[in-house]
Formats: sequence, C-alpha cells, structure tokens
Amino acid sequence: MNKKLLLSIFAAMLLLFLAACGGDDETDEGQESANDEESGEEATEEQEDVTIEFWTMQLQPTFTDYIQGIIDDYEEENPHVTVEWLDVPAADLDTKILADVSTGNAPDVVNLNPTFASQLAQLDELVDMEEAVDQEDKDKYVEGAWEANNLHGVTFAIPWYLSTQVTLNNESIYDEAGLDIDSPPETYEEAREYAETVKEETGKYGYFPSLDLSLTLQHMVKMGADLTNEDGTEAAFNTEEGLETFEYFTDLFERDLIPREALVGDQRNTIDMYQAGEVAFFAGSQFISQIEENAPELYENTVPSPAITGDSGKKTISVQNVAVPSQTENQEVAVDFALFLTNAENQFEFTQLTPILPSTLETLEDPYFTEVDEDATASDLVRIESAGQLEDAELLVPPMDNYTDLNESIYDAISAAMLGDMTPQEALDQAEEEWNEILAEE
Amino acid sequence: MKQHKLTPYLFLLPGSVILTVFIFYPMLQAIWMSFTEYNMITDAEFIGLENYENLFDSDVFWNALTNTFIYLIGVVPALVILPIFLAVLVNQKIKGIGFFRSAYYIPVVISLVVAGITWDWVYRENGILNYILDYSGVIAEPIPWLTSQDTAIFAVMAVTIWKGIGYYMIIYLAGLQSIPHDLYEAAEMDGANWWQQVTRITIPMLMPFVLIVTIMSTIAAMKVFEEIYVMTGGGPARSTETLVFYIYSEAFEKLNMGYAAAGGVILFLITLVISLINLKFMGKDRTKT
Amino acid sequence: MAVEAKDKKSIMKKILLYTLLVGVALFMIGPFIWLLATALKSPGENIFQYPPTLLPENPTLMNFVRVMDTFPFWRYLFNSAVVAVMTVFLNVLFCSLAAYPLARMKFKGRNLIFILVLSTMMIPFQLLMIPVYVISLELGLQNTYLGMVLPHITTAFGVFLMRQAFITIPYELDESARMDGANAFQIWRKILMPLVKPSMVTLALFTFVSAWGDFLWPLIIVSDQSMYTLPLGLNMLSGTFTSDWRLIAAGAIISMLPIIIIFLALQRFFISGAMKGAVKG
Repeated sequence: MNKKLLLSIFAAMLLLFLAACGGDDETDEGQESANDEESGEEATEEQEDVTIEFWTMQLQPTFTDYIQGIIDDYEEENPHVTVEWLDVPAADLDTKILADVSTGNAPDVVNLNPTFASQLAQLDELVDMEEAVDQEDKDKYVEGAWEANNLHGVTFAIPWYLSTQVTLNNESIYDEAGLDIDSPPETYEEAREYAETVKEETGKYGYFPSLDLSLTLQHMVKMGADLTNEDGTEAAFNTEEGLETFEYFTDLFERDLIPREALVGDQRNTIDMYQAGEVAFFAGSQFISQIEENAPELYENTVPSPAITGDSGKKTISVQNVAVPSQTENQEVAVDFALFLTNAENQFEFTQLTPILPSTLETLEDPYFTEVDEDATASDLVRIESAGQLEDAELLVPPMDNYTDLNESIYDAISAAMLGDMTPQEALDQAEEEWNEILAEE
Repeated sequence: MKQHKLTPYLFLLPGSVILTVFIFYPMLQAIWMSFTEYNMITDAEFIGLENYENLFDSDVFWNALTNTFIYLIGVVPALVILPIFLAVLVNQKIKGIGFFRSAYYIPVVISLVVAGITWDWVYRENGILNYILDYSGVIAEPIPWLTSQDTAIFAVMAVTIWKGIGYYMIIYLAGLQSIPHDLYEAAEMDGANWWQQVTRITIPMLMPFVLIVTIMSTIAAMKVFEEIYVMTGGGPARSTETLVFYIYSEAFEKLNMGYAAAGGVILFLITLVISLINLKFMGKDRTKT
Repeated sequence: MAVEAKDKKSIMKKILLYTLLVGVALFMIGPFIWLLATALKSPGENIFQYPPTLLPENPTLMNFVRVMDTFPFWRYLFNSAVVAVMTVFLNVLFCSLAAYPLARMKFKGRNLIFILVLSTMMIPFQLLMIPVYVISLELGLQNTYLGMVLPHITTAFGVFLMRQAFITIPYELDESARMDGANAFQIWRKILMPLVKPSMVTLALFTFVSAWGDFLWPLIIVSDQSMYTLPLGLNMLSGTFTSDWRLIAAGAIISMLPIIIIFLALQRFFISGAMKGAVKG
C-alpha cells in the first residue's frame, strides 16, 4: 500500500483527534469546576466561588453598558459570584435553550419568550418562584405582572419589564383624510369608521390590525369573548362576541379596509407599511424607536393614543420575564441575581433607556411615568400613555397548556373566514371543536 | 486494472468517519425518535407507529406534502434548465464577464431577510410587478401575489428560482470548463457546426453535471424552508406551508420532536426514491463498462 | 465587403450579448442595489419610503464605521475566518479523496456507499441538531473552533460534485499513468486533481459561502460570546427595541465583501480553454 497516502490520511485524522482531545480537556476542567460549585452550594456559608450563566435576548449592543453595569454591581456585592453573560439572538433563543435544556446544559438565569417559558414550565423545567421568592420580595412587583407567569399555580418566572399597547397615528394621513388627530379611534367600531374615511379620502389604509402571535385571541377577548370556561376544559368563545370578532375582521378584509398582509404578515409587515406612510394607525408602541431610526420624518408626525379596544374595555399587557431553569446547580444565587436584575432601582434605569414600563411598584410611582414635559417626544408620550393604561391592563391570554396548538387553530379559522372559505360562524364552530379536542388532551 | 483491495476504502476513510459521527449516527437517532413520543426534554417513550398514523390522519400534513410537490414540480425544471443558458452566457470570453458572473452569484449570498424586503416591493398590490403588468395591459386589477391562496406559492417559488440560478450556474460553469477543448477542435476539423457541437459534445459531456443539479435542486426543493419562513410564514391559510416548515413548527414550536421526526423520515424516503430514479436514468456513467 | 459584413455581424452579436448580460444582471442584483443605497443613507432619510428611493440624499460611510463599533468586529471576523478557512481546506480534501474511488474504481459496495453519502442531504438538519449537539458535547467540542468546523468537513454535495468531475475525465489518462508505475494516490494527486480544478474551486467557493454564513450551528455550539462569528455579531444590529436598517444594510455588505473578493479572485479558474490539451496529458 502506498505510504504517502496512508501517512497523509493518518496525519489528518490524528490532527483532528488531537484537537478534539484538546477540547475535551477543557470541558473536563469545566466539569471539575462545576463539581466545585456543587460542593460550594452545600457549604453556602463559606461562600465558595460560584459562576452563573446569564442569557439575555438580543440586548447588545444598545444595553451592553446597562446590563454589564448591573452584573458589575452584583459581583461587587457578592464577591464569590461570577456572572457570565451571553446575549442570544431573539429569533433563535428558543432553539438554543431547547438544545441546552435537552442536554442538561441549561444556563442559570435566562430571559425567555413568555409562551416558550410556559412550555418549559409545563415540563417542570423552570424553578417555581412561589417557593423560591419570599413574600416580601413578591410584594414589590405589580400584581398582574407577577401573575402573568402563572400556570397551574406555579409561577415559572419573575416579571421583568412590561408594555401595554399604544396606538400610533400618522398625523399627515389624518390631515389628508380630514380627520381630527386629537380624537383618534379608541374602539373597534371607531377604527372601522376611520378606516372607511381614510380609504375614501386618500386611498390609503386606515387601520392595520396584526393577527400575528396571540393577537387574534387578544382581539376576541377585547371584544368580550371568554376563551375557555373557568377550569379551562372547554372552549367558550363560540358566542355572540366571538362571532363579532370573526365578522369584524372578515368585513374589514373583504371591503379592503385593511391590507391583505394582515393575513400572512408577521408584525414586521405592519411596521414596514406604517413607516412607508401607507397606514394611518396601528398598535405598535414597541416599534417607536425603530420608527425614529428608519423613518425620522414620520416619527415627527406620529401621535400616540390609547389602545383600541372593544365592549369589554380590556387592554392588553405584555410581560417580559426572567426564569431560572430547574437544572441549575446554583438556584439560590440564580434567583437572587434575577431579583437583583429586576429590582426597582435597576428597572428604573432600564426605563430611562427605552420606552418600557417597570414591573416594580416603587418605580412606577416616579413622575417619569405620569407627567408630560412640554417638549415631550413621541417616545415620551408612548411611555406615559402606556403607563396610564396599566391600571386597566391585564394579561388577556394567560399561559395555557398546548397554547401553540390552540392559537394555531384560531388563526386557521379566522383566516378561512377572512378568505371566504367558510362563513365566520362555520369557522368559529370548527375552532371550537378543535379547541375542545386539544383541551381534553392530557 | 490491478488495484489493492483496500485502496478505495482508504480514500473513503476520512470522509466516512466524519459522516458517520456527525450525520449517520444522528440520522439513526432521528429515525428512532420517529417511533417515540419525545419532547427533547423528558425521556423518549416508544410508541411504535403512532406518529406515522397521526401524520397520515392529519390534513395539515397532507396539505404540506402537496405543497411540497407543487414546489418541486415548479422549481426543479427551472433550476435545471435556466442555469445552463446562464452558464453558456457567462462562459463567453468578453470584457467584464467577471462582473456579470459575480452579479449573477449575488442572490446566492445575499441574506433572504434583506431580499425579502425588496421582493415585498415587487409583489405588493401597488408594487413593481403589478405596475408592469398593468402598464402593458395584461391585467385590469392588481393581483395580490403574496396574499392570495392561489398565487402565493408561485410567488415564493420565483424567489427560490431567483436565489438558486446563480448557484447552479457556477456548477455548470465548472462543468463547461471540464470539457477538454480538444474535443471541439477535433469536431471543428470534422466540419461540425455550432449546433452540432452543442448537441454532440457540450450536452453529453455536461450530463454528469445535469445529474448533480437535478438531484441537488430536488433535495433543496423538498427541504425548502427559509423563503417560506421569511416571505409568507406558511400563509395565507397554509397555502405555502411545506413539509420542512411543518416539521420545524412541530419540533421547535410545539416540542413534538417524535412526530416531527416521523415527518422527516417520510421526507427522507420520498427524496431518496426520487434521487434513485434520477440516478438510474441519468447517472449512467462509464465506469460500469 | 464580406469582411465588413462579418464585422457588423460580430458587433451586432456583441451588442445583443451585452444587452442580455445587463438585463439579467439588473434582475439579479436589484436587492443588492437597494442594500447599498440603504447602507449609504444618512440619518434623516426614510428607509421604508415607497416607492423606494435609490439615491441617498447625503451619502455617508458612517454606517460602516458604526457597524464595526457595535460589536467586537475584528474578533468575530477573526473567528469567522478561522472557521471558514479550516472548513474549506478539510472539506475539499476529504471530499476529493472520497470521490475518487466512487468515480473511478470498482469495488464492493460502491453504489451503496455513494447512495448512503447522498442520503445524508435528505433529512432536514433541524431533526439532527439535538443528536449532533449531544455528540459534540461528548467530544468536548463546545466553545471550540473545531466544534464549528468538524460537522461540515465532509459534505455529500462535495463528494457528489467531485465524483461528477472525476467522471468526465477520460480514462486513458489513468491507464497511461498506471503503465508508468504511478499508484492510486499519485494518480489522484498528480493527474486528476489538476484537471478538476474548476470543480474544486467551485466546491471551495460554496463551502466558504456556507461556512461564512452559517448561523444556527455556531449559535448552538458556542456559549461564550468571544467565540461568536460574524453572522452572530451582525444579528445584533437589529436589537429587541431597535433595528436601524442603515446599519443592518452596511453589516450585510461587509459580510458579503469577502465572498465577492474571493469570487473575483477565483475567476481565473473559470476561464475558457483552461483544459486545453488535457487529453494529450
């Protein structure tokens, strides 16, 4: 056999093997130090060195200094703790954490998507904060925010920052259509009327409601429907109110009063069209900074107003959270860090950087959330409008088992109605049937 | 021909080790998963053929499978044939050809998120495509390309083709370069005209590359995901939902890994059969004689 | 007269050819033009205006500079370069080795092995991800360059492409070499590899592009921010609360530049006539 061939193949394999072994050593060391941590936990009093891994969802680079500041403060107060921070792209955080939970490699503290967090909670993979956090600390948070992370009596995360929906209105389209920017639509009925006027006068779209994520369910609740019965075993939305929701969107769609993109689009479409100046109003307070960056002229023309709602008068709140996976070997430190991260002082600093609301009661009392400055920008107005609604706002779609299936079923049904494949009533019947099947599953 | 018995295997060794560790073994695990109920977190539980039964009972699965076939039929012929013309076009020895080759390759490397935004402008109701069609009098009403069940899948296909053309063009270009020039010279001496040269030399010599493009584009079409994810998210009303999109959402949104794996195995089998047929009919190589 | 007509004909042919080339080019690079225009726009211009404006009012290169300040640009670039270069080198080597017997030798199980290799492309990566991750963790590949490289250094596409390239080479070449006493490895190295350069270059290019752009796998295997690659860094340009398209566009262009440069550099391997005289060998 040829020597050169053999040699080069073996050289290549050996190289790889050695390199792989080199990597191996590193992990071995890692495991050793992990063992150290374990023994460290047993003797917490001695305060042996602990390293916790902390993941955020795409906060770099805008908030690098802010988060690093919190970590530095925490490490200073707790010299035995080292916090290793990893910033993960939002769209793929679910996949990454799934891979790591699956292999027993989960981080210690992590900011999760609420729906994904509830899926992990369903599998008992997140620490129950009812047990891990004492009453005194619990009382510092807005009650609705604390309860937003509750599934079957288990609180699977600590609330971080909040937002409520605020409608953004394009003043120049209002002017063009002869509408008054000072009385923007606050109910679905008004939104329909405004959409008609805008269409007639300008040919543009008035309203762009998104049906992405849980938004369809939220529209139904706002119009007064209940999603399930009290014990969550049966669908309860096949009522007049539920039908009204389906009919409302079907009507808007058929009369071309909302862009067809409402059906396929994720929320990106809404913001793109608003930025293009083709939509008069939409619910999008979370996009205000983007508008400032990408469409500065439009930002000057943007006026925030209270969220559009239906007969129920309900307004929606969304809650970001910090969870501690139960795989952690440093639960105590991890929970402590999560509480530190979300404490009043740190959250107040966060809200200075971007228009979000804090989940701590103390922070909310600050005039920053109540008083309008004379030279207030659109972002300031969004923040104040948003804070003003907090009292009436609630989590409209609570964490549910098999939420993804349920949501998909509703979305399929309303799409079918809007496209005219079914009547709204038929679509609603179909969704109800599917929901009952899914809810009956264990 | 004399050749040591082990020689071929030694050449194959390094690649085989890598493929075994990083693909075959995981593939076997995925196949195993398809017979279990597995959410990636708690232990997998063997349930026999239940996942497959559920798949065959699911309208959503059949819809995804149908869409995948529509995709396959629409995309593969275009991606096998169009790049040949493009390759011949950029195989000319003229000034600035390097620029054109790179230009045609750009869609391959540009991120789909970026391309998606510009394609939105092409497809929207007051977009470029409707403007052109309206201007030339082909249509009276603007067509909602991406937002109607009837057209969305074709609109996304066009993006796949746009993105793939440059890729396969390069493969063909490599193929054209591999054809020994002497063959053309000899043919010319025999008095063969351009067309005869194309049909008697270029196309037969290019066949190995037509085979690879056919198989590669078939596999790519069977696995199409990103374009759908970016452009329509599977809508409207699931009219653009393909098999891999379905598998992805089952696995990572609903944590039904076992069920998703069963879908993957079916996808695998279909792709395998199509590829074997292709190999059988187009892959007649000269080593067999 | 005849000569003049011929000239005219060739000029006409050239005009036609260029029209065709330019027409197709416009269609292919439309999105790129928008990207470039966006990257050059200064703050104050609406990016999402419709119809889109392609000429920036106040062109600026600031966005490119800002991208480099957004994340540890040079560090991530270095990581990406290490991963891409290792992947390209090993993938081309291993695939060409494996393709040779599959194309030009007779041995037991050849067709089966070839089909098995092809079959590795037929299952979606999403389903293999967790098992591959488990294996990689066991091999201690987390947070290593090798972890990002190893799973990609033998690709079915590469084996397939090289096999097809080897198939096109006339058999007389091996035989005459064999008569001269060359062994299999020498034939592969000295005779065949130089002849399949266009395919080798194609494989190198494609491997580079996929290694350079790989997003999901590096994200999974790396949990140490200093090991992030360029695509992971560029992703930071659109944050949770912000997404400035000027920066996103500038970042996209920066990440495409190396590919375009490599592509232009590899041009010379695609020049017609490179194979001249091959048969005479």
